Amino acid sequence: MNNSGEDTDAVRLTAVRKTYGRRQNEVVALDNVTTRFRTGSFTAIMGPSGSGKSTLLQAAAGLDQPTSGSVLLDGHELSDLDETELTMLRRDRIGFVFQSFNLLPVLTVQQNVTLPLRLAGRKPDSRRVSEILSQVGLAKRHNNRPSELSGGQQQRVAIARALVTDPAVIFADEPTGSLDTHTARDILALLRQSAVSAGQTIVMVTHDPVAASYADRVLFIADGRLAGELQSPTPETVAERMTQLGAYVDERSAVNTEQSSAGRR
Amino acid sequence: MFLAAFLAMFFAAAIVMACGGLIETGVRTAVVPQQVQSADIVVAGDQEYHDAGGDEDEPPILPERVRVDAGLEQTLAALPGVSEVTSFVFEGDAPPGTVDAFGVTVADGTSVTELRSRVDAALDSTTVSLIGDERGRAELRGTVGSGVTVMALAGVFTAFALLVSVFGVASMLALSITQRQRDMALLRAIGATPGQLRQLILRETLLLSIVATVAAIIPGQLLGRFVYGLLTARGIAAEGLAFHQGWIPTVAAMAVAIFAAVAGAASAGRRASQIKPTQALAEASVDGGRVGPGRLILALVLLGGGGAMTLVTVTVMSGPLMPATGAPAVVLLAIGFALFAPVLTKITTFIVQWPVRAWGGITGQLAVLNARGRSSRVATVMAPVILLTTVATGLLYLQSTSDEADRQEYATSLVADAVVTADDGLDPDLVDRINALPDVEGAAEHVESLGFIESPEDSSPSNEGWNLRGVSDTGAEATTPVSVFDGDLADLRQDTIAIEQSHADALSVERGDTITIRLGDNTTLDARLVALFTAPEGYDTLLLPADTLAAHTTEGVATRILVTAAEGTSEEQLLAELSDLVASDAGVTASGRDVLFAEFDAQKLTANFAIYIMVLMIAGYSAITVINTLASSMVARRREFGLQRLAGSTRAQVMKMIAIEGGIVAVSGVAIGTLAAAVIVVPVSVERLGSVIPAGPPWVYLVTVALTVLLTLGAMLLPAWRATRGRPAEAALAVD
Repeated sequence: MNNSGEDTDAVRLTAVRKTYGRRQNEVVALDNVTTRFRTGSFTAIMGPSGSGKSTLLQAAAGLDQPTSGSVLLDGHELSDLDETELTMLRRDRIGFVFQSFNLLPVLTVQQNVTLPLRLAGRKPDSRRVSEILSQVGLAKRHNNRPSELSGGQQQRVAIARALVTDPAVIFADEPTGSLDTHTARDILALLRQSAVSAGQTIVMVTHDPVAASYADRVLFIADGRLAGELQSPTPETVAERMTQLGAYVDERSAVNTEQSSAGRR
Repeated sequence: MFLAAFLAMFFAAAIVMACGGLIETGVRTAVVPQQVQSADIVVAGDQEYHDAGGDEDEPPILPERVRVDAGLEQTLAALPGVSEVTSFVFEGDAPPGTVDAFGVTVADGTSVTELRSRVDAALDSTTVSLIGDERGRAELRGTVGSGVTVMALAGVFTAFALLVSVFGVASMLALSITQRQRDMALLRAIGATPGQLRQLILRETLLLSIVATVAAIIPGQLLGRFVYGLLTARGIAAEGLAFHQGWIPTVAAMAVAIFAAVAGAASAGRRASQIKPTQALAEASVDGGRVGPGRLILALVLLGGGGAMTLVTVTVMSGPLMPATGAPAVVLLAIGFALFAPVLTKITTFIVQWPVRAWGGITGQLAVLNARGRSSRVATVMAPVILLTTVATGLLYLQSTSDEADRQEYATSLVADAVVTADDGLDPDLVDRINALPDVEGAAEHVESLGFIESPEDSSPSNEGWNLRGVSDTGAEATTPVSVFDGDLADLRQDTIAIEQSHADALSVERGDTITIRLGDNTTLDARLVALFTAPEGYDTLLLPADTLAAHTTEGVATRILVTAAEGTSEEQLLAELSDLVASDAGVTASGRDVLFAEFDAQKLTANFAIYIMVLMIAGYSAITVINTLASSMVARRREFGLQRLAGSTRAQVMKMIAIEGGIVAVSGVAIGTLAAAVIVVPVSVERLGSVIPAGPPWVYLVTVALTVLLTLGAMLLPAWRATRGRPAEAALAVD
């Protein structure tokens, strides 16, 4: 829970750099990114395609090791851990929601939700599980298979699974990408509620300004570098900032110069 | 896809069980007694020769019936607990004073085991006692040798079946891992450690293999019986030998099959544990086709083994023994090359890309890109094709080359031009009458048997004994491929012998010394050395007088005369003259050389049959693996085909692309397989026939290749047809 007084960081990234490929064809996905996500915050990471936002998520979540730099998650330095230790950390302290293919098709909703616990060798507390399932509105569906659920319902199951281990952070990668606007709104509301009422730290990657507006803070990223942030975002302010990122900046200033020079005449 | 792995394990288990049953049959050598049914204990000659100095567990079998001293009857009857003693003669005429066997019935109040120990005490080293299922062995002498043959064959089958099936199961498992990549990556992302994934694979495989092996119990029995029936029909297994496939081979086969499955799962599990969690987020993946270190080492070991065996086969082995190391070499090479499939795939795809692109248009280009981009999938699919081609081509042509070489050797050693046969025994003067004919260069009686030299110390080639040949004193030189070095073959009368000059040097004997021989019916003969000769390589024969040798064979008399024509006389002329001569003698026939060749070929055919069965079994299993692997990979590409059709391909174009891919796989696989087979077949052919091209009908190769190509194409096109049914959009969005 929150410490009164000093705010603790759930995740802290320092000078994280991630490159792919060899010297000649090197692609820099993340270029010296330093940022922090405070406990209990709901942060959205926004950027155009290819900006590196998914890579940032993967590095922060311990899904992939950065080429250099440090990632401190829940007090653990990720670069010191080997694959098995990373996995155990993920299992116990991190929840994931992906855009699609979140669930194992051969397991029921109940089994999917309790999977991380069972992998850790812990017995799932059935009361807690039904509590979480009612929280996401799927109490009646606990015996169904994913193929019998709609896209929105599947995402809710993914969120339930993310919540069940009481993680330090939930990472969501475009969680509403495949959903219609009504369902997307419900999912986002669910996430916001767990952040507000349960103090859950959430980091969400998205390209949708409306989705980003549900967060407390939006981090902008372009071409592998952080490009500013916005507190208490609204869809309009987020959308406007999006147009001022990276290459668009040069274009806009070129247009502005033209317009102002035309206006002066 | 579980089905595919299940099938692989099921068939492997069934084959190993059938082999186990054959081994058990051989070990038990249970022969249903007929004539001796009423006797509790049968006393007969010991057909095994124990002083050959070789492997104690596999003593050579004596070729003639070992008789029992008739006087033994009194001794047996006098034993306490005996109620009746009957004597039996099963084949031919027993020499005076001997019988073939005694049947002893036990009196009330004594147990069979008690009486048996008393009987054993009364027997000498050449006689044995038989009880229960063993009794029939006395009647059907051939079964003892048969049992050993069946067991040896089955042992070899089992070893090969195991190797091939481990390989098949491992391929199927590897393929199923690749197809479940996304699920595995998801598991890794939400917290499954690499070790847990390995365990998952292991447990799944264990469960599947238990179910598969249990399901294979009854089919395994049926298969064993069927193969045994084939062997019996061909005379490899003697008719009376009873087939047993009890619980021992069944359980043993299950254990072995499960172990093989688990071994295959270990490598698949390792691959699964290396899946990165980020692959859960990735849409498409293109994989590298490298060979992991473990696989590389295994492949090198197998290839090394195969190469070593090839060397041994070419340099050391002679004649009929060649398949002993030749066949294992083929299988080792096959699996070694198949394991190298990923590397070889890259090479072959690289080579074929230009002609395919040029000739195949856009579909050809797609096919090549698919093959190059997914080279590990292509390798998984090509490996069984390589296995199938190598095994089928290698074994069949190895056998035919070896046969041709044997035949040529036989032809050189067969000097006679015609044969005169009398089934009831020859008139003693018939040989002289034939010799008197002007067109005859020489005629001699002909008896064949096997024997061992007991003194001085000698070890015969691989413990099989020396060929013994009985000839008449006159005409011996004309009808044998020997040239006399010292002494005279005309001195071969009564207890005399002639041997090769180099052999005499090895034994340190000279003309006039005495050699003790153990004959085919387990009696000894002290023979005086009267001549030394030189003979073509591989002759390995000792010459004895025909009458002397004949007396120690099961028939008891000579039944054949070999005749060589004089210079200038043709075979037909000789044959005509001989037919005239024997026309008046009842039961005597004259025939040409080809009769002997026909006998030789018939013998060869019987021995080769075992190889054919082995080829069929392994080829059959490889074919199943091919179908399995190809069908599974097609089913998994349903989404890809859907995407391709959305991009604009018609169904026909997709099918054409598959056909081209199939063509690439089939042709490459066959080419590599032929190369692998050539590694052993060509050296053997050069060594024994002096020709780079092996002997054997070319249609065998063509048919094998054609069948393999058809199999590959069929196994790809049919599932692809099914996978492209329905609307492309549905397929493209399908969740696997």
